[in-house]
Order: sequence, then structure tokens, then C-alpha cells
Amino acid sequence: MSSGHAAKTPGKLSESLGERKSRRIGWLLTGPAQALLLFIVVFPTIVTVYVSLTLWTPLDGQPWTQAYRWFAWFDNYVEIFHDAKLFSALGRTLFMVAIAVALEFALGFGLALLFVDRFRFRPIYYTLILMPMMVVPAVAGYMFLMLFQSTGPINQIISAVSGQTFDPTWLANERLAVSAVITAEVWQWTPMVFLILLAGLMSVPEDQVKAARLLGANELQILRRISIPRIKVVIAIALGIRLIEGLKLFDIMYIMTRGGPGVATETLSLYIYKRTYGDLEWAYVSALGLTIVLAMSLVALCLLELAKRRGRQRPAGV
Amino acid sequence: MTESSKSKSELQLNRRHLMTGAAALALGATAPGNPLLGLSPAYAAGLAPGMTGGPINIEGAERYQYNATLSEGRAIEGIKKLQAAGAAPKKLTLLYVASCVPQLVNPPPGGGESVKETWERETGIQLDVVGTEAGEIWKKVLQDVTTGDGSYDIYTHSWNNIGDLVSAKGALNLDSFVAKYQPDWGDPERGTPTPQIRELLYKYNGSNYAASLDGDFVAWQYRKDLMTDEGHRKNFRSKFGYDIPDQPATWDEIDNLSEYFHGQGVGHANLLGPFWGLSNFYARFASMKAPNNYWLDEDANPTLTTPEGIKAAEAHVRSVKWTSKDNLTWGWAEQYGAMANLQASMAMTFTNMAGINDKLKDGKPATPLYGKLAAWKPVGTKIGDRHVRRSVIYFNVSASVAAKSKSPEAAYLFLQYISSTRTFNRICGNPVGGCDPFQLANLADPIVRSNVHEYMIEPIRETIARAVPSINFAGQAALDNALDENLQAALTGKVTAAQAMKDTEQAWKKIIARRRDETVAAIRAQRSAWPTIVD
Repeated sequence: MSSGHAAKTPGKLSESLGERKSRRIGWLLTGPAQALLLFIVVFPTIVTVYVSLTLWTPLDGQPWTQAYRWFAWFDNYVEIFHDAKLFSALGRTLFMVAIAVALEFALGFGLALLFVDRFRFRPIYYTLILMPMMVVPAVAGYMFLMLFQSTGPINQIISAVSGQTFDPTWLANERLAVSAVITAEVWQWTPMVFLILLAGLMSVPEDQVKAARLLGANELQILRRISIPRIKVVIAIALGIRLIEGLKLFDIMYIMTRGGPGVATETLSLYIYKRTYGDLEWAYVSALGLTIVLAMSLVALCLLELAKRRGRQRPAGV
Repeated sequence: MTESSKSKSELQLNRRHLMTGAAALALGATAPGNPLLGLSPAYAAGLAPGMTGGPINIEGAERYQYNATLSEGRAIEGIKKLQAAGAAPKKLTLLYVASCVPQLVNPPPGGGESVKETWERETGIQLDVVGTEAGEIWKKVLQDVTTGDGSYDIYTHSWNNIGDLVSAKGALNLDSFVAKYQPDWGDPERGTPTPQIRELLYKYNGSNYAASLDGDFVAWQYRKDLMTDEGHRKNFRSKFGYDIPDQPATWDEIDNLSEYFHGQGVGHANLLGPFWGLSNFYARFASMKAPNNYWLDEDANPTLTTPEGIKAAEAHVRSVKWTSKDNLTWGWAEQYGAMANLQASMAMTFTNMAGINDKLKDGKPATPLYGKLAAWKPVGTKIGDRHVRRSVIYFNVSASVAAKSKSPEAAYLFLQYISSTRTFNRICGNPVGGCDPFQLANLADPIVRSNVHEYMIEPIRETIARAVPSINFAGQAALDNALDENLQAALTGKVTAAQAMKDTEQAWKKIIARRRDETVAAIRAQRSAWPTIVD
């Protein structure tokens, strides 16, 4: 009864108020949200596009509205493709993200498998494991800055365990600095991967697992044939979130190394930050920001298209 | 009126005012709360004869009091005139370096009134102090300037940012206010130690744009317990063939000392890492020629790849061997910590390190460094029979009136008030913050001297006289970043020092090309502010 009544109501309203009036009400109701969207998305995008087509910087002593005085068409976009430092930063970021996300996934998945079953003090361990994720990244950065000093706790513990002096300068050595920041990143974000994957594993139907066991499947087989296929989407979400977040790596690097030594840990975000507040090249940074958004959108589109195709190829019922 | 002649007339006026002040005080005693005096009886009772304002309930209050003939008094009078004309604000907002905020808002150790309280009591204008970490403050300034937000009446920033701030039209030209209210910044008896420093700290391109609230002239501080130790002296002599000098003359001697003491586990703590490490490089670089080795010639061409430039860079990079392995990750806080914990033998650093580390706390040494510190005057290079000793001014908390301030005159008057010698004595005499003394009055004030330590006073004077400006013209941040990045590459062995200078020079040329004329004008205007002292 109610559904039939609900189906009729819009029609009645439309008839009584008229099509035009109904549309006006629609505009009225969605207007604030559209205005807000216009203000927070469309307007900044237009400003960014406009500034990116100029050579304006705040040092020119004119507001951005006057940026047209330094109009330069696509000079900034051309410069992007000649910016060797940008591509180095991009390469470093991808390298660090790949390693960090791989480690986070391995550790997070391992921990999630352990926590699927109930055991004594599980809630306490669970809380402890989640704690790093709740630490503000800047605080985590300071913590690891202290830990990785050559006279810091990490070297002291290794020295005590090995019985030999161990005092490498983690943050002043290019390779070690990269390892140190990846360690900090993995420490902080493994809990997030763990949390997502655990939720996925908990949702695997228990009857299927039990049935597999009754049929003689071992744990590895259950994992490969039942659990992983069932949580593929969850895995993709966890990896996707971490990859996107990883590309924005900033806080920990900024606190621990400021991108150093040299530019060994300078990520894409740090590079953009330096160009923005160090070099004050805001027009170039606008062009760079837009290019990155476009590139990321293209990648996302490709991935979506790929997912769609696979969906189409998949046999029904699977 | 020049500042020099103003100072003389001030002295004459002071005497006359003392007489009228005494009479006023007598009148005040018989007519308490007389509105003509503009003072409440409780405060009037605490003012020295002839003084009309200033703190009354703090140690040595009379040294910080003023009347209308003195810089602070003129600022207060100016505010009162604005108030009478209805042109004064109810509130001023100051963006201030967080580490310096306590010196402004906290009472002195013996109790009493803070500088902020005195200002608010005398003017009725509330002061809203927004503290921001030193490394972040430029971002906030720039955001306010570019958005036209006008959130602040006064910005504090690094002295190096002045050129960028002026170029971005974020700072107000203060020339007319300076002429009108005559601050005592360059007073030959109380202000900056030399006229060059007055030019350097307060002016950009020949005009007044800032007031200095700091004295970041990096000075040598060392462990006297090590340098006077007989065992070390003997070993050093046998290694290098000369005694540990009471006062090192050259960078080579510093390098020898660093090498020797590094072998003893306590090398130098001169900063080499990003940002703060530039001060060390600049000081070394500047002393390579007489009277100065300039970063850029008068046509804004970089001089980094000259033989002197490369030699300075090589020596700077070499010095990484004689310091803590973690040095490249240090800022000044870690450097102070290394000195405090006796992990280093010497450091060229900001002068408040002595006050922070070498002190008693609750009757006990605050750090293991207590009683072991002393200071040298700058070191340099011997060029023929000339000896060029140089330090550098780097960072240095400076303040400008925001171009978008709705009350620029009141904002300027506040700035004049806190940067004038009597009130700045109160600020840098309060040992709870990071503003370093630099005015002659500061170096003569007993409380400041006691905080900074007597052994620092003469070296500070010598250091200021020999300090060169680091880069402060438009494009400074980009220029410093380029140098920083390449020096870090050299310090970590990725490129040679010579290559680092070559790469930096290329980057500098590109940055300068953007506003060459402006840069040339700024360089030429600043040349007269470089030190000419050659020992």
C-alpha cells in the first residue's frame, strides 16, 4: 500500500504544481549544495587553470587577479616535461610507496590472519596494534627522528644484542634514510591495512571454510581458494587507499629528513612544497598540480575500465 | 633630525624633563589621579622622576622607564594622539615567532609586569599575539599577503625574508613614521653597535621596512675546560705544531681544533644540515676575500665558482668529517643539546646558547656544560697582511607592519615601542625566549649581561661588527634553497664541492634573471652595510 502511494505522490505533486514549478523546487533544494560545490571545487580549479597559464609569483607584488600580465600560455606545462628534479622526486616516491605498501600489505595481512581466530588477550593486542595509526604523523616523524639518531635507541639495541658497536647514521646516509622513512611509514600505516583486511577476512562465510576443512583442505588451500578470492575487493580497496595516500607522503619525511640528505627522501609532495614555499613559483606549481590531477584521473579511469572489462569477462555466478 | 643629533637633544631634554618631572611628581603627590598627568597614583608612585611611563614593579624598573622625549615615550604619545583623534584600534594582532612569545607576554623571573601588560595598561590597546613556529612563520605571512586577508597588523619573519616581503608588497614602507616618531634604533649610545647594522637590520633598498627584534649574529662558543686542559694542549701541539690558540684566528685553526677534538670524541657542532647550516657556510665564504667575499657582484652575477668560492665550499664539506654523524639532521635545538651534553667542543651559533645551557636551575647546573663555556670573536682568513674575520646575520626575528593593516600607524607605534632600546632590554633580558641581544643598551644592561653571561658580551660586540648579511633580497628563499640543496648533495658525497657550486650558480642565474634590475638595486643599496673592518 505504502509503495503504491509513494509512487503516485510525485506524479500528483508534479501535476498540481506543474512541471516548471517542480523543477524550480528541485533547483532550490539542490542550489545550496551546488553553490558550495561551485565555491570549493569549480572556482579554485578555474583559478588554478588561469594562474597556471602565467608566470606570476607572489613576489611580483600583484594579486593573482592580475596574473594575466605575465601570461605565458603553456610555458609551465612545457617546463614540467623538462623538470628533471620532478621526475626524480616522482621516481623516488613510487619506489618508496611500492616498498612501503608491499610491506604494509604483507604485515597487515599476516596480522589479520592471526586475528581472525579468537585467542587470549586478543582485544589488548588488537588495541596495541592499532595505536600507531592514531598517532599524529608529525609526532610519528619526531619519534622516528629520535629513534634513528646514530646514538639513538635503535642503534643501541642492535649494539646490545649483537655485542658489537653499531652506529650507522641512518638519516645522514642516502640509502639508510630511505629505509628509515619507509620503516616509519610502515609502522604507522600497517594497522590500517590490517584493520581493512581483518574486516574482509571476518566476512568470509564460516560454513564454506568449515566445509573445505571437512573435505580435507589445509589452511593454505583454504586461504588461496576461499579467503583470498572472497576478499579480492577488500584487498584492492586497502591497496588503493594506501597507494593514493602513499603518493601524498609528506609529514614523516618533512619531520625526519626534510627530504634529505640531499634529496634522497624528497617525495613528490615535498618537492611541490619546496617549489611553493621555497621558490614561490606558484604558477608552475598550479600547472604541476593540474597535471598530476589529470594524470591520476587517467590512471583511475584506466583501472576502472580494466575492472569493467574483467567484470564482463567473468562467468555469471562467480 | 638625524638620530645622532636627536640623541643629543634627548639628553638635553632629559635634564629639562627631569626638572619638570620632579615638579609633576610633587603635584601628583598632592593631587593623586590628576588626569592631566595621565597616570594613576599607584603607578605614578613607582616612576622615576621625569618618567611618564614604563614598568614600575620589576627589578631595575627605572632603567626601562621613559617619557615623551624617549623612543618608547614618543610611541605612547603617538598612540594617545591617535586615540584622541579616534584613529586608534582597540586591538592589534601580532604574528610572532613562537619561541620569542614568552619574552613578550611573560613577567620577568622576579615577577611583575610583562611587556605586553605594560603596553596594554598604558595604551588600552589589546595585543593579540599569535605564536607560530619559526620554520612555518613565512608561510603564514605569505598566505596573509597573497590572500589580502589582513589578519595581522604586524608580521614577524626572518630578516632574510624582508626582500621577498617588500617585493610581494606585503610590508609597509615605514619612512614617514620613522621620520615622525624617531625611534632610537640607530642611537649611537644605545642603538645598533654600528651605523651599518642600523642600515642592515631595518632598511631594504634604502627605505625602512622592518624593526629588528633579535640579534642572530652567529658567534663562536667553545668549551674552555677542553681548550685549557694541559693534556689536550700537549697533544694538540705535538699533532699540529702549535698551541691551542686562546683566540683562533683562521678557519684553518678551527679545522685543526675540530679534527683534534673529533679524535677525542668531541668534534665541532657547527650546523651543516639543511637551512640552519647555511649560516656556517656563509660565514666561511664571506671571509675568503678582503674586505668581503660577496655572494654576488654588483651586477648580480654569482661568485660561487670563483677560486675563493670553491675553496670555501671544499673546506665546508671537509668539516663534516669532524662532527657528529648526525649533524646533517640537526637544527639549532640539537646543536644546543650536543653542546649541553658535552658531546661537542665548539659551535658557531646563536648567542642565546650560552644563556640556555650555561646556567643554574634551582641552584643546580641546568646542564653538564655549566661553567665550562666561553666565547671567541669571529675567525676568518689571512690574506697577505690582512686578516678578514667574519660572522653572518642569519634568520634574525624581524618585524614589519603589514601592508594590509587597518591601523598601520598604531601598528608601527607598537613596533617602535617594543623595538626601542629600553623595552627591548626587557624582552631580551627575560630568559624565557629566543630573542638575542644586539643593541648597545642590551649589551650594557645588567640583567641582559647576567643572562647572556659576561664572557659573551665582548665577543658579541666583535661579532656584530664583523657580521655580513646573508641573502635578503627578492628571491632569497629560492636562492637559499638552491644553495642548500647543492651543499647537502656535496656534504653527502653525491657531488663534489666544486660541482655543487657550479650547480648552484646555474640555479641562481635563472632565479636572478627573473628580477635582475630589482636585485641589482638591492645589492647596490646593501653594499654600504657590509662590514669593512679588516684586522
